[in-house]
Amino acid sequence: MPVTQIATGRAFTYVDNIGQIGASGPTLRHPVGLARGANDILYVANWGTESQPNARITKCVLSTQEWIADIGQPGSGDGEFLWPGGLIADSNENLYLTDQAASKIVSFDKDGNFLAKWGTPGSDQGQLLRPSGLAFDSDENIFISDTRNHRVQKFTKDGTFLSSFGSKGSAEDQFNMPWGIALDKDDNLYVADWGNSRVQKLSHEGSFLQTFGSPGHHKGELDHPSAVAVDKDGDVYIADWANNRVIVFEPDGTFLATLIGDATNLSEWAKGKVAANPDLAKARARADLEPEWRLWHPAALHVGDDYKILIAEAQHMRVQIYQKDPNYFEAQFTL
Amino acid sequence: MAGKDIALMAHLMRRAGFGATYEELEARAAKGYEATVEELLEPDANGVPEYDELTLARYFPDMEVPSAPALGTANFMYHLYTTPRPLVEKMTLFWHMLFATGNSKVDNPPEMLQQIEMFRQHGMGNYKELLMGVAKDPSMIFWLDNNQNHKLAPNENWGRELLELFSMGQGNYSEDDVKMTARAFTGWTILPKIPRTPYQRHHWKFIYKAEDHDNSEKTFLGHKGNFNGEDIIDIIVDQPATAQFMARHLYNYFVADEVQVPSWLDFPPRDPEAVNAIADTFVKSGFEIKDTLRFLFNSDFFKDESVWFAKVKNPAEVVAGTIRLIGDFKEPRPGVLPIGLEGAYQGQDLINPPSVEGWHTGKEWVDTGSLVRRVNFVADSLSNADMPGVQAIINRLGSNDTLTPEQLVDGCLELLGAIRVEDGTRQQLVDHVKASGEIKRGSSEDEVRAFGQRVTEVLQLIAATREYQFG
Amino acid sequence: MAKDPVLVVFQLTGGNDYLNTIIPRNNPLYRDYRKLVVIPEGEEIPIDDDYGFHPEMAPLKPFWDEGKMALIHGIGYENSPRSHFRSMDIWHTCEPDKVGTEGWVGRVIKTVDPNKDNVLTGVNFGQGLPRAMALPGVPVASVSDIENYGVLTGITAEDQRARALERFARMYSPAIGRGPVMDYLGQTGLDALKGADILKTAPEKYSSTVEYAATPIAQKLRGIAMVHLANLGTRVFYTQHASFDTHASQMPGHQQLWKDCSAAISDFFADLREHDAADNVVMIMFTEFGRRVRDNGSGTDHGAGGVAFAIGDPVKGGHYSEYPSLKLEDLQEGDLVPNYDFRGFYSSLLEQHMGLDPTEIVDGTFEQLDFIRK
Repeated sequence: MPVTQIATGRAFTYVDNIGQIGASGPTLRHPVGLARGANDILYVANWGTESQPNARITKCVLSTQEWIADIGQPGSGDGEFLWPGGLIADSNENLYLTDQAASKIVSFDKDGNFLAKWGTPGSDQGQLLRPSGLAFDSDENIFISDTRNHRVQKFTKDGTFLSSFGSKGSAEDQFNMPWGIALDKDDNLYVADWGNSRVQKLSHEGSFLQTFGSPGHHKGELDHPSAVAVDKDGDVYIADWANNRVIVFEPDGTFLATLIGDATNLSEWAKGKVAANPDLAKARARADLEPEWRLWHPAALHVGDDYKILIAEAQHMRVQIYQKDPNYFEAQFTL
Repeated sequence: MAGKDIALMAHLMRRAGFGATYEELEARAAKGYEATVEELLEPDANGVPEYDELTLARYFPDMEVPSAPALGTANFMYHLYTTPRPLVEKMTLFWHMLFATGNSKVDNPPEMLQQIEMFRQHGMGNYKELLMGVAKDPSMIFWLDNNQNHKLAPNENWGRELLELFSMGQGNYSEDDVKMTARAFTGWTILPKIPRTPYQRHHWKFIYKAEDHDNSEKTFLGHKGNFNGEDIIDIIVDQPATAQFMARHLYNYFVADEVQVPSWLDFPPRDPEAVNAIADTFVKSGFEIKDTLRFLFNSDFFKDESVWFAKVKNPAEVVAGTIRLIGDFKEPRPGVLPIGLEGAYQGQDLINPPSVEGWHTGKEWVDTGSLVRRVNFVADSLSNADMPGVQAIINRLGSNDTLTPEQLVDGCLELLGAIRVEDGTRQQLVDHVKASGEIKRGSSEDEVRAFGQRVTEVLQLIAATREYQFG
Repeated sequence: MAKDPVLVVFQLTGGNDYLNTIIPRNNPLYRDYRKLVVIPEGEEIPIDDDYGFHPEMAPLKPFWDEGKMALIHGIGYENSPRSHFRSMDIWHTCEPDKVGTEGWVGRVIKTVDPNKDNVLTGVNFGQGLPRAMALPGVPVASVSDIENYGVLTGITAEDQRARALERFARMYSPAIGRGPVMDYLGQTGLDALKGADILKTAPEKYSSTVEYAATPIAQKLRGIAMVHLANLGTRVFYTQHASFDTHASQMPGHQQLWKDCSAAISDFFADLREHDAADNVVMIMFTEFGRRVRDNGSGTDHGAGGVAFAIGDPVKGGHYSEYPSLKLEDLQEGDLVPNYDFRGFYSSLLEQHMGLDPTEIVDGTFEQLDFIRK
């Protein structure tokens, strides 16, 4: 049952979801990072659990939901990580992931081979404390949300420190535990300023430009946003983490739409689970499933050039997929 | 440095919280005893921050909505050792131990944590309202089978425990009262749940099903009427036995170990006057728990030295107190699971008490296995000189370049929270230090490290004493 | 003098998949239900015309061939709750209908050693204490590392620890009139020291040609072998291996589990036999429930009805009870229907192997099976 949000020349339609709870294989566990590759490939970074450590990157096909591989594993050695905070892919489809536990950046190639690990825990320039969100600029330098240092730092892909800006606080260009981060096509920076319940837009050099959202629970307000994405038209998507929704703004900050989650269908993976457990289907038929359709702690966002909007739900073990129609016209009713 | 004020403050913080570092004790003692009691009781009015649930949810998504019971246990324990509002958590633990609900049957750790959160929100409020909350709590309903308590087929499990364990105590009601209670609570049940797979658990929901409620007249404790659950709770709360029972529980938890609860009918309270006084305050305040606690903590019987260390620490106190003392987890980090499990290994598996009667307390916390476990946990923690709390103790003792064995032992006892040990134990500690030679801080890196080891060796031995098992 | 019978309880935690453990290899329904989580045809290890072991269970095949392994089919209880914790509790307390607090192994220990003469009558290898062994007033040693057991193990320097332990003993030595709780703590502390001192002798005395793997389960069984061979009077050992909760990626996961367990068990009995100490030992393996008959595409979910094992020289090998029907119309909510009460399994062991009256221990009388040699 597709659900569509319509707003000034655009439409956002729920398409599908992918995921189910699990520790390996065609399952996700507390997904917190999203990246896309060529040929319809989706990468999802999973936090895992401490009781049954299973931090990993799930690689699968977005449209068919075919599971391909688990990349990386929990730990502190090469190719291992804990507490993933963000995931991005470069132009070669190499994957970069923040390991918040070790305060390092871990990279893999698209086949899952470990490439490198860099970063030094600390608070000096170029050091990191619980780094989370990351994003590439057009030169493929990495901007990192240096969360517990309340700043943003810029590095080359192989870890050479370039610059740093921001400090702890709530003034313009200050941050409180920033999380997700994104750049638009003009290399402006958007930072999910988690503790200040806002998204700040900054120039590529870090000077304040604009604020999206203010603390609250009403339309267009934010409660501890976790992620931000900008599509090629400049529309800004914010994962309103503690309000359990995604908010879309026009480039100038005008509120556009709210996505609350519409996963009324089972994912391909979940279908197998329900089919194998007849009493599960019965129990689901008895229960009011609405809470299951809705977003629960959206922690990562990705909006592609194909206008596919991906929302990873940290507490629902899945990715909800929406499609933006950038040229929506209300059909004539008499058609 | 020792002082009566600090020793009393240490007693208050062990009971109204999970202990405190020496620096905290000094700061609180400087502020004053009554002011500290007020701050513990009224954190909002005193600018104490609320618990930061969002940071927990961000860094521990697996613990926020735990799939494994051990992660639920870890969540509760994490609150105990990271809270800025220790009395709130201490009362949360009190109610958990009293309204003992076990995940072994509920099998839903997030739902268990909802119950714990209810205790956290309302545990220092009004007892009658709390009982209502418990009666509508989905975990409790499932735990005591009230979802199977039907108009045509009553189930007495909840009704009995409400009277026996949660309010009046044995001997104050009849079997008929139990039956009437069960009938009054028919129709109090839970909605069909969303299965935990394929995606994630969701919270259960209470529902009152009027069509399954027994609307006939009931006689309960001499009252007659078409009682529903609320009416039963109104009547229960007004019983003198309820005030006595709750007062004795508070005394047992905050003041001094009593005999085990099932023996309360046969053994009078250790201090009947104190229990009566608590009960009076409870009734006069309209069953306000905060008012009752204010009276308790400011009373002479609580401050009296005869009740200091008159309780065997429960494992949650041992674990949370140790983590707070050494200053671990100031920043979120992986490793919360073993801390939660440590309580379980010592005999208190939070969110999973062995039965509705809760844990046996006092000396029954200790057997050979749990004693080894608790001694080793505390000793290992205190031997870690990298921990800020341990470092602070070493540095403080190191402010004098040389120490006599007596000074080292007394200093360690004091800095661990004005711990008192018997003379014989102290002598053993002193002898032990003497046997290792002169104590000198020195200035080279090796000397400083060696000095630190001398200190942590004493801290470990103190952790191993019998006296240290009391709080 | 005849040796006292000894029981080793080995818990397969998480719900072992019955169908892929004892494979009904010639039943076409097996392959109908199992599309992806299935042992490929011909890869199972045949044990007779109808059944085969999981391919990784090869080290256990000799026990079967020698008639020293009994398979107890369709074991469970009515209204299986499909919850790990509730199900495990039922196995541990023998209370299928209410929340029980007394463990059945705890009752065995109490029956064998009512005066608590030996602090090591029951020994658990692992962290904490399984509810099966919990019984107020019954001391049980729980050993996570036999080479380093006891109080103040964090002190690594040997002489320093020896001095600390000596001091501990002095501080715990009861003085008259120190109050009942202090006296109790004193006695408890000294008991703990005593238990550790006795247990310490086991690794000291131990020598063997068997080289166990480094896996956790192999190391635990090695620890059990050490204590058993040291003749400390231990009558019941307990240990567990996890996690058999194979909801996803079961094929590689389940394979690893049985690889580790099979090798460890084989080494354990080889060790005992090398020391002529196997003839009085029965090891049982159980799990809280079997798994769904149909797979979910990657793994299997919680089911009902499983298989238990009894292994050892006193065991009369073979099939016991019946493999439940796989026919669709015979399944209950997609599960096998258990046809043998687990308390009968315990009863058989207790009466026929341990020589105890099982009635009070399992709280009732249940059908016994004759898998112990007379």
